[in-house]
Amino acid sequence: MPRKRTDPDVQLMLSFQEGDEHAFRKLFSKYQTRIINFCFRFCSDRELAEDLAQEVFLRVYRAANQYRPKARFSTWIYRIAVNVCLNESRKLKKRYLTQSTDRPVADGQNSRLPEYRDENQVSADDMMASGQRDEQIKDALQNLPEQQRMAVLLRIYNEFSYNEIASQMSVSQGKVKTLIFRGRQTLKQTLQGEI
Amino acid sequence: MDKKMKKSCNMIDLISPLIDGELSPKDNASVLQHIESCAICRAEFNSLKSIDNMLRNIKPIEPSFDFARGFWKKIDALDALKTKKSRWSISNLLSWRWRWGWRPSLVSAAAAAVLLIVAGTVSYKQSAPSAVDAMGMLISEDVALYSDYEIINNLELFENWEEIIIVEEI
Repeated sequence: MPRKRTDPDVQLMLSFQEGDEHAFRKLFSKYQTRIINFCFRFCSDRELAEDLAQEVFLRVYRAANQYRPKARFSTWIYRIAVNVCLNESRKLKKRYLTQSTDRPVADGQNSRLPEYRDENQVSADDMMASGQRDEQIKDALQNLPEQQRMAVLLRIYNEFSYNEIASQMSVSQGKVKTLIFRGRQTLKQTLQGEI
Repeated sequence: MDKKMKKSCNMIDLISPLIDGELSPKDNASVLQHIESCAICRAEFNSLKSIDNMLRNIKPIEPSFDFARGFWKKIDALDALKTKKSRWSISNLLSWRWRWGWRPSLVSAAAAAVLLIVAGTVSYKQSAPSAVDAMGMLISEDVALYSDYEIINNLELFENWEEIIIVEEI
């Protein structure tokens, strides 16, 4: 039995398509944290992550009339999230290339990464090591090429199948397998001391 | 058993899809069995599982307090823009008709004229006299012919001359 037919989120989206805005609010409420965190893990910038997440929901809102439940709702919304994040990444790259002559010379391994403050972190000694480790893990993720990073995030955090990830990233399943494999290998090398 | 430590294993590429549940049941069983006897693949399996756990243990962030509000503001702005656009296109359409109104009127008039001609032609053909009425039509247009027709129509009266005289008197 196709999962999409029993998917309650698909039913909510179809209700929204028929004019029930309350159904959209339910979807928004259910997915906002997940989408924000997906975007945040991809870009490592909280403010940008929330902008990207809002863009994702805007696209969902505007696409109501064209929505056709061909897959699970979560597969569909994450496909939109992938597109939004990759588009933003390309814009940032373009901006970086045009401004590169004015940028200061890199003085450290993570100088090109945006600054991140974890407002939930308590600066106690026993938390310091854990916080630093989280920072190292986030840095290691940011150092992955964007396609590997995207595939790893979709697999590890959201547990999508390779088939779903292939659909979301518009690549073959074989490519997804390779991206995840290589992403894990790079993370293993970077985080050798932490494992 | 091979006591010399292998540096690599040709099944190591299957550890990642094994962890993700993407192997066929047959391959899954085969790789799991292999791991039990291969230190390299077992180490790889444990490393990759650790990385997955480390990534998952990073604390997620919560949406900022105005995330939802900011989103609905954007929706309101979008709706306002749509309303403005639809009003613009209605007013644009009306001004278009004002400026170019004679063009559609001319077309309509031409179409109406064609329709009238067609309707008139059809109507005329429908009301055209049949062969039977043709004589009647001809007689009604020609009074002289009409009087002759009366005589022809009443030929049986010539059998009785007295009656003819009476007809003439009437």
